[in-house]
Amino acid sequence: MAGLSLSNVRKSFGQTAIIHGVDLHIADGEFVVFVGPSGCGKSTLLRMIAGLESVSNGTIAIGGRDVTHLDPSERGVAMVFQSYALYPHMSVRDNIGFGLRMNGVPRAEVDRKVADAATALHLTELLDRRPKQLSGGQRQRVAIGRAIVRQPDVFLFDEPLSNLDAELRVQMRLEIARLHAELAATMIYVTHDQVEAMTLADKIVVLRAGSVEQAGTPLSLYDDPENLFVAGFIGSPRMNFLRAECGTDGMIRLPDHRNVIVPLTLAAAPQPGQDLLLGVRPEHFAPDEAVSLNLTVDLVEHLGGASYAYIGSGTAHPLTIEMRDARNVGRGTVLETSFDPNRAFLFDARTGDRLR
Amino acid sequence: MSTHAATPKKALSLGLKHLVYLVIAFIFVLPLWWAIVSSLRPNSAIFADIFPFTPKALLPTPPTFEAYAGVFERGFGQIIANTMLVALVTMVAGLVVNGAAGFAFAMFDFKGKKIVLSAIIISFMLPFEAIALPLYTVTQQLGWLDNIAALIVPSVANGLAVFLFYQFFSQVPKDYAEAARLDGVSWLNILMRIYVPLSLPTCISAALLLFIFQWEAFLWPLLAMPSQQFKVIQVGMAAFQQQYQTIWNQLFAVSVITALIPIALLMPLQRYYVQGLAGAGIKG
Repeated sequence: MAGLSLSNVRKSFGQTAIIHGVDLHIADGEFVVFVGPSGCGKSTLLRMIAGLESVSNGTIAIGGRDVTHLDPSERGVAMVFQSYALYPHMSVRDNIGFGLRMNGVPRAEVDRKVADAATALHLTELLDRRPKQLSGGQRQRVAIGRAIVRQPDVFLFDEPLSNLDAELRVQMRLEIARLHAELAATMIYVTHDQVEAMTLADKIVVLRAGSVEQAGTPLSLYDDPENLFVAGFIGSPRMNFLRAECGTDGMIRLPDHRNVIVPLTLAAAPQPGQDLLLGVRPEHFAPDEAVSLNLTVDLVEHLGGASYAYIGSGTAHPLTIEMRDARNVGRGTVLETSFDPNRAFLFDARTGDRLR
Repeated sequence: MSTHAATPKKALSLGLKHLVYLVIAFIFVLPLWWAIVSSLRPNSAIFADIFPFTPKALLPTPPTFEAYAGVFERGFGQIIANTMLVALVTMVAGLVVNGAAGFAFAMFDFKGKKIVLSAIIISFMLPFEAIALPLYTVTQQLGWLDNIAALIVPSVANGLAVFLFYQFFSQVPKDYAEAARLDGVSWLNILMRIYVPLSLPTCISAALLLFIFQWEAFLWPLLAMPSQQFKVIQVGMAAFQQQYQTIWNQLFAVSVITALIPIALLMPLQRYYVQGLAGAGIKG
């Protein structure tokens, strides 16, 4: 087991920079999720840790050992690929044991380790099958088995659940969480799905365009996003952003909602006339809070336990509001709702920075 | 009513269709059939029943294996063995060299890769006649004339085979190689244990390509073996057409043998072409 640290890690292909100086420390046994939209560099960063992509600048250390220029096999990492990468001409047993056998581990020991991994992953009955005779979830487990037998210091997962259907994804998510608890190994997991990130991670690293936007525990990112991007990315349905203005009196008003005043306690009042956005999560609207709004509903989705009302869809600043016990709300209903200003976040609309 | 009327019409058109098929098939098979039939006749009766044409011309009466016996009495067995040796050694060495080259082109990025690859592709578009003379000079300077190495070595590296392997290996998902590298598997083992088993049909295509290339070689063996101590099949066949006479029945017998050996090799390997090779280890 080992921790991992990245310092000023950069990657560029020719003139194009893909990763712009990432600094990150991952503690021993931590489950870290890299999350971000597609093309943000999360997979590239993972592949750099694995040694499959070269590092243009900076250092990567695993367990205090500089591995920046080491071969992938010398880094003590194992990776589960998005495609699973199971060798189609080998049985499950051979797939799991291949790496060990190629490294000269005695056959008896390979057999024992493969059997142990198979037991842990409920694969024992499938050991003699070929990958194409397995379901998606079973293939996924074989791929994980192949990583486990090597007893690596760090496990790397590259979007491992993206090829599974929704139900299986939830099941495998729980299985990976259980595995982390049992092995207590350092795991780095890449996904674009923020629900996976929230449920699995000890620490989430939000990436955008090759830079770390924010890193922290799932709840700290949810409760205290540092910028517009993280606020919008973490949480489902995503946070609502309402246009806001600061008057000469220092009060924040919502011009799209009859200039209602939002009483916020800020360290420094924003400049009058500055473009602002006020972020309020859909689940933080309630009937009797301090700031009330009158909204005309466009569309309602009833999920049973909760309902989502959509307002101003198609405009620059649409709203989603989560409601409990709102079965009589429908299209065209004028909804009186409100939110607590202490749970709202204020952002600079131009830079995306949080104003505190 | 209408079905009643249509039935005899349908039968007639079906019959006509098949008649046309038969005629076409007959035209295609005729040369081959003619060669087989002629190889089973005595030399004196080769052109019997042709002028004027009688159906007897299509059947040897009675068949005789005298031509085949004659061929082997002239030492043609040795010639077949020679050709087999040259073709099989070329095939095995060619698989190793071209497979490794194709793998390197597919896996690694290096400076000048595109240029080298283009040169290889151009190399198999050049007709052999264009390089025959320079190749002869090189062979002579190496002192390889009349040496079996002169037949084998220049044919081992084959641009088309390299290209075949390159094409196939680049289509194999890179994840396999990456997963194996993380497991500490050497490049040689990645090639031998993952890529080769996945590319059996390509290996077989390349093997046949190399084999047939040597099997059909005529000009180069003629040039490289001036003393004709070591003869290969195509050169040996030409000897049946002599200055004053052509031994037709033996020539046909040799042609039949020459055609049958590659066919016999091809048949059992055919299923590998058909066998689908899906990337079953990839995705769900």
